[in-house]
Amino acid sequence: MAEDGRHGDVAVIGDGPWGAMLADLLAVRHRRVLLWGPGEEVRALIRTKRRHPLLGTLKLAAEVTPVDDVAEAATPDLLFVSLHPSKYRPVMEQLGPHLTGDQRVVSASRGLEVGSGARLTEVIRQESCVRQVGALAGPRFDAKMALKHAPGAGVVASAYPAVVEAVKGRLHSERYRVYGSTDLVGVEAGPVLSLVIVMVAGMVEGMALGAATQSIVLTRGLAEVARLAVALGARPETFRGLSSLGVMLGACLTGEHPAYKMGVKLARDPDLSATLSGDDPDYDLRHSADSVLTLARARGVSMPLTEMAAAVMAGRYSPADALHALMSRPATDEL
Amino acid sequence: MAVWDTLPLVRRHAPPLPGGLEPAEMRRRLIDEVAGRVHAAALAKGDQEVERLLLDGFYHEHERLSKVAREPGQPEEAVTLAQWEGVRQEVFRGSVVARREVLGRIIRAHAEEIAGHFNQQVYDLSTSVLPPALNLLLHGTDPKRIIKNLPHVPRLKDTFVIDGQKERIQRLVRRGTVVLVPTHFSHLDSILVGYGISALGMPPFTYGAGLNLFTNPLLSFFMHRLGAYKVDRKKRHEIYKEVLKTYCTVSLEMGQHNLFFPGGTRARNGAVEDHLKKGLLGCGLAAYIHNLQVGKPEPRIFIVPATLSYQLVLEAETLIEDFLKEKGKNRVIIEKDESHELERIARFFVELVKLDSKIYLTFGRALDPFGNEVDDDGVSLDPRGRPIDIERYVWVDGKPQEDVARDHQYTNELAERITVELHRANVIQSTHLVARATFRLLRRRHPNVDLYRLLRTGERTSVFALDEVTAEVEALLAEVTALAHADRLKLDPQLKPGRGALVVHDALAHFATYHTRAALMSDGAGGVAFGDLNLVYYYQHRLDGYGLA
Repeated sequence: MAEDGRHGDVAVIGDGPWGAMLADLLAVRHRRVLLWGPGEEVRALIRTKRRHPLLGTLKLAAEVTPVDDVAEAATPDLLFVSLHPSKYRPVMEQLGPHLTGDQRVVSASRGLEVGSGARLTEVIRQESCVRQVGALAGPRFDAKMALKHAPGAGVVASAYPAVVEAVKGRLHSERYRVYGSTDLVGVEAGPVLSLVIVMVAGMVEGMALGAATQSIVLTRGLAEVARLAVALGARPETFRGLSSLGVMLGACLTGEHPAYKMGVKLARDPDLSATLSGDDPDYDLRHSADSVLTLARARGVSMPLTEMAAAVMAGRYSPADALHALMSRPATDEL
Repeated sequence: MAVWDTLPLVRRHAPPLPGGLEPAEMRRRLIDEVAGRVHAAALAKGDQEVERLLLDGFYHEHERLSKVAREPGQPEEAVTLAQWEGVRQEVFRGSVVARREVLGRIIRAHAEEIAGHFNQQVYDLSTSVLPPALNLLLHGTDPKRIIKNLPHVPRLKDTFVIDGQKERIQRLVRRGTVVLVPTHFSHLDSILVGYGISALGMPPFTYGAGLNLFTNPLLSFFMHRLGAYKVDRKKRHEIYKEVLKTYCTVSLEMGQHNLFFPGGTRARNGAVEDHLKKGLLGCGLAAYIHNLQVGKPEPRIFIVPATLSYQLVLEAETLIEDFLKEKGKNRVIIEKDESHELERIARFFVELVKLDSKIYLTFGRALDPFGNEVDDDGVSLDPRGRPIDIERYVWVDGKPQEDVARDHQYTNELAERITVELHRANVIQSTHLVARATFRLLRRRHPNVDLYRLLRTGERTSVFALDEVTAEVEALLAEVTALAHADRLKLDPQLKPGRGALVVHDALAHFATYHTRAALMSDGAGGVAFGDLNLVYYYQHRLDGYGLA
């Protein structure tokens, strides 16, 4: 650590809006934040204007340093990876050979790998020799919040306490609080599983059913998400935290999350599902729901809200029929 | 001409011990280093820690020694009850200096107790005597077989099959220090693994043998002389556990290849281990880090999983009975069982030979202390097959250093990888398959009955038609064949789709021998009946861990 109490280099792999935002947050505690991504235009804009094309008027800190070579980005002892799941493995295939056993890599992405359903930290482990991996998750922190100086928070989880302590020590600041956890599976799986429930909450708004119904969806949705995650090896208490409950509330209270908006759209235009294609960002959520259900069925876990959401997105049910099917289920115990 | 004159003698001279040390000198150095290291570590934590350790020792040992009388033939305690009473008095009345000295003496006494007595001459003799003796047990009591095969005298290799990555382990023992971690089903495992090591021309391995084996009439001879060190599983105090772990670590640092059973005790339910005891497993990593710190030229430690597979297990009846009583908690150390009866052991082998049965010792993929696979030269590889500089896993600020939390997690991950390899090297045989098939049929017939109630009350009345059993075996054969193709397990060569009837016949032939009651038997009317449901339950566990119903 330097005399000013700041750390040396840290890297962020992935120059999307959250990757750039994360780099800006890390700049508080580091002298240099290496930012690498596949978009040459993005790097050029950051170099010349200190701006990111999707972060509006937010000016990124001077410490944020775009790099062109992934090998250079691989040099710091701590790296964060913020990539869309579909790009994760191809990028890790490039990055993996440059990593060494004493480095720590934290996944700051949301989602499961398309096709395999693997958690993204598993992809890091499969494509490199790195063992000390972690995951960072929490409610969305975007440019609007940064410009208003609104505080953000997230949870970092790892089976290696040193990873948790490193992220806490190097990301935690007055702008962004970082909490620690040892439940890697729960913190990684929580946001993915939760977003389908967020979509259902959006459908409730689209159908103008009111806040009380939304609260039922969120509460029972959290229960089924926790059921599956526990079957995957997570701990149930993790779902009361930032990576699940925090993500759900953040998405629903703002009403601006893409998953929530998709739910609203689907409720108002049931034919929308038929027009979704692989290139459509909303298609990701449909794929996420299918991935979640594949995991749930393999483990015999009941997820009625996710089942109905997937059915609506696939065009098999209208939102009204889905609601009727859910309410026609027999009574059961809450816990 | 006596029978034994016709048997080939395997006279092997084992390679010298690491460092060219004489065994007695190695033993002395080991004890000195272990005692010194454990004592220094305790003193470094302060006098309150010294006091705490002494009282912890007194509490546990007083509990144990005052309740259980010493049995004939049992070795003397390293620290007697009277001596522990003296320790207590030192804690409450003695000086700080006196307490430190007492701790040092106790540590040394435990180190002396644990250390084995390797004898090169006896090792050479026993490795030349053992194979024919084992051979004799396996073949010699069947004179017809001897006569029929003269001059082709049956050899050990006909019955005992050493397979898997044996060439790799033969290379690795010359490139670093090896920790062999086999499955544990029977007390015969120690002898057979020891024979396998010798047959492959490898140097002797030291290993921790439970104290009860030193009173076993067959095994005690070998335990003392083949470099076994004594592990007293009844001792639960911290000093003892620390001395034991440090003993294992230092012996690895000194280049002694080690063997220990990562499951701790024999698998009571007959399943391949899926929960390992991590205490000794972490010694490989501790030794590796220390080797790096002192700049040892060849610091590498390799961990080699190995799976033994028997058609029938010598002690199966006792083990499953114990499992069902404790519901798998493995709390009881079984002092006497079938392995204490020489006649029983002889009969066991005779029956296996009559049926042309095989005992498999299959070496799994060799690993480094972090769970990465290593190649023939001992180079660690990442999941994509790229070489890794594993030294960096233990760097702190650029230097190799222990980190308790980090190393604990590395060992957890190593344990996970070992269980995968143990399952992969598992050879399924007819008894396992047919037991599983019939158990499935039984569960389908009684879907709502609690399993333990089913076993404890004894299901004697279920009979299944031979056709039904054969069909279920064929279905299971298809499933395990797919698993074998996916390299998740191995199959005895006779286990092939379409051979269900032969597999059933072979299993029933095995079950009809050796055990007091046959696990399964033909009822004489074209059906298959349960003779000992507990044994069926035991043998079917061999197929646990693969996601099969």
